[in-house]
Amino acid sequence: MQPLSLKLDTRYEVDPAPSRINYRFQRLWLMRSFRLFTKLILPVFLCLAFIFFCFSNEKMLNFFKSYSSNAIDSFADRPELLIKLMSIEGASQPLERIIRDTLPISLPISGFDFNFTNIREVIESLDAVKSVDIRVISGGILKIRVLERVPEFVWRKNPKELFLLDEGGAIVGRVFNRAQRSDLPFVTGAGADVALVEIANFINLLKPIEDRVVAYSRISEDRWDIVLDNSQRISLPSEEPELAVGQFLILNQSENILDKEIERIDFRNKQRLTLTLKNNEINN
Amino acid sequence: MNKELFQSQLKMRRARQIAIQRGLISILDVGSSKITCFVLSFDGSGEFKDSDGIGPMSGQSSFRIIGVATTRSRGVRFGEIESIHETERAIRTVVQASQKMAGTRVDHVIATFSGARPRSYGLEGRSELVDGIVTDESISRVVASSEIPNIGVGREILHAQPVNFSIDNRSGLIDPRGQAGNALSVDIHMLTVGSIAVENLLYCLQRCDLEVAGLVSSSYCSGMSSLVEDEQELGAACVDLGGGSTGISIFLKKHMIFSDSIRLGGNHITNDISHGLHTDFATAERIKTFYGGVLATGMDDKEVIDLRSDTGDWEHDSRSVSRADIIGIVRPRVEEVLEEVKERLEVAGFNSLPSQRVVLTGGGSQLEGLDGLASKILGQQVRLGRPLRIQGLPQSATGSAFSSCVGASLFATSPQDEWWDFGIPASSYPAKSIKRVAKWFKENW
Repeated sequence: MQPLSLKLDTRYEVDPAPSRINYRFQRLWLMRSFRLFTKLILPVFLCLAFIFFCFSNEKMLNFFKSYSSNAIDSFADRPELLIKLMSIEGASQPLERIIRDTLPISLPISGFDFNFTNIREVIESLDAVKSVDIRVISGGILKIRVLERVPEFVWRKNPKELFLLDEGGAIVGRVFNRAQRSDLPFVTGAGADVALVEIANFINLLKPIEDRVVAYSRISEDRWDIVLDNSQRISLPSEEPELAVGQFLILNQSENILDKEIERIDFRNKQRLTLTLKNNEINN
Repeated sequence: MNKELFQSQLKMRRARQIAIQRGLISILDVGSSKITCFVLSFDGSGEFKDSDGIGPMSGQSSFRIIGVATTRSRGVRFGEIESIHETERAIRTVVQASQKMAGTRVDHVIATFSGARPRSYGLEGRSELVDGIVTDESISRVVASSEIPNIGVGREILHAQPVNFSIDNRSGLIDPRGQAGNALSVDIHMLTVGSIAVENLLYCLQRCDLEVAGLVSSSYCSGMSSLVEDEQELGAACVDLGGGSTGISIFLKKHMIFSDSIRLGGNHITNDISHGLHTDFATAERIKTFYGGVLATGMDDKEVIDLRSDTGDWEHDSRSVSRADIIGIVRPRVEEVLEEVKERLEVAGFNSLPSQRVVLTGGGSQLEGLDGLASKILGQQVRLGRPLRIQGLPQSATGSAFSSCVGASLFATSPQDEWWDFGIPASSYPAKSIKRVAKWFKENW
């Protein structure tokens, strides 16, 4: 008789056939629901379970936190990403010093920790800075290009405080007395800084009598007075003061009005020019 | 008819219905030389429409074959399973391969087998018509009234198909329902097989985790697929020349009226060649398929065939024979088979049928010149039959060797009504007693 036990030995198998387990497993695998389960539902479930396990355990969570922060740090501390130097362009010596002192960073610093927006805000909050351009150039150099405000006026806001203003009325800095910047026109009165544009319209017209002008005084945050030496004063209307200035110059040219004993030339009423004589003249 | 058979057959019917609803069923042909598995997919009405000029074609347009696998048969002799585990392995192989091709799993199987000594019986049933008109109820009553002959110990009924109804003297009715008459009688063709073979097959299928949706005789399937419609209508015999057995089925009026099986087949031819030429079985099989024939001509003496073998004896290994020698070996065996077929057909009364068409199919019918020899023995109306074409069947599985598989596919879609499809008549239910109670109440109150 043919030995029955040999049939299990695959070497003697003439006709190959799948084993029962193989057959059953393939039939199981051909079930669509089983395939879906093993290929989609089970892996998703296992992933979710793993994630849940990790984040439900405080130890594991701390481990992951420290691991990830270490990894980020070790990457951020790479020398390629370090900012080592800072160069400031376009700023005057004192301003540069101020910027260097105020910036809340200490070099070298990683590019990852460097907060551009914050730095920009800090620099732009300085009075003397009009705009700033920050970039990191190769070699780890932080380049700050500053556009400084140019002081155009000296402004006395109140009896104690003197400010330097640029052409737009923004505060550039402070001075302690007028004589420090006697080259700049002098502006007084509250609200003068916002109305500087109006001055700009007529300040050039006053070139001929420039050396006689002492100050431009804002009255009631509404209109300008031009204060001249000899305690003379020109009151300008709140609307179209430059026309009044033109009118005055013509008057001055033809009549030399300033040489007369007149205390105030009042243009506030358009229909009627008012001249105020000095007190002692009236008495004379 | 015993209840157990009823229940087991109805269970298979239900399984078949479930499978068709799910849209997948497999066909398993357990033959002596090969085991084949088809996977059928039912996808609605099919791609053919009536407007294409192709009708429903007896149901085969509603399915397509999506998986086919064939393997060498193991452990099967004369169409019966001899070594269960070997056969189970072969079934596993084909089922797995066809599932792989189909890309899906199938749970229901319709199995066909050729052996198990089928025997045909003609049954007759007769019952009076109560209302003078034929209803479903009266059909099931007449079917139930037919007497089952003693089929012998260890045998069971495989098919029991009502083939003819007659009312009074009018015979040959296909559907007698609604007709008037006094008495209805029915002719039933019953096919019995040895129950051991069926049990072995069922055990194999159960071991392969398959649910049986039908058991069909392979000769019946071959007739379904290789006889054309008018042959089935007018009467024809289908001879399925298989490997281990030869199946015979006679069809008339689209019903099988007789089926038999001869325990002789292609393997015996191979055996004869192996004996006669002293070669191993594989070489003999090869010589049979390539050079086998039944009509020797002058050319065949000149055609020399090398008998390659590997015994180490040079004289033995370098023999050669002429094709005429091989035909000399093959022909007597084929003649024997055909004579046997003729005898069985005569016993069945084939000669009295209106048409004596004989269709040869099965793997053995590919033998060269067989139709010429068969027409000398079985009469002039012999032709070689191939199974009809069904969708999705690969070219390699369209040959005549696959006719029983294709037939089983047709059986899966449109099985003929069998005894158990008519239901148990109400008379055998206890409901009758309730009726009697109701009647008693009516009469006495």
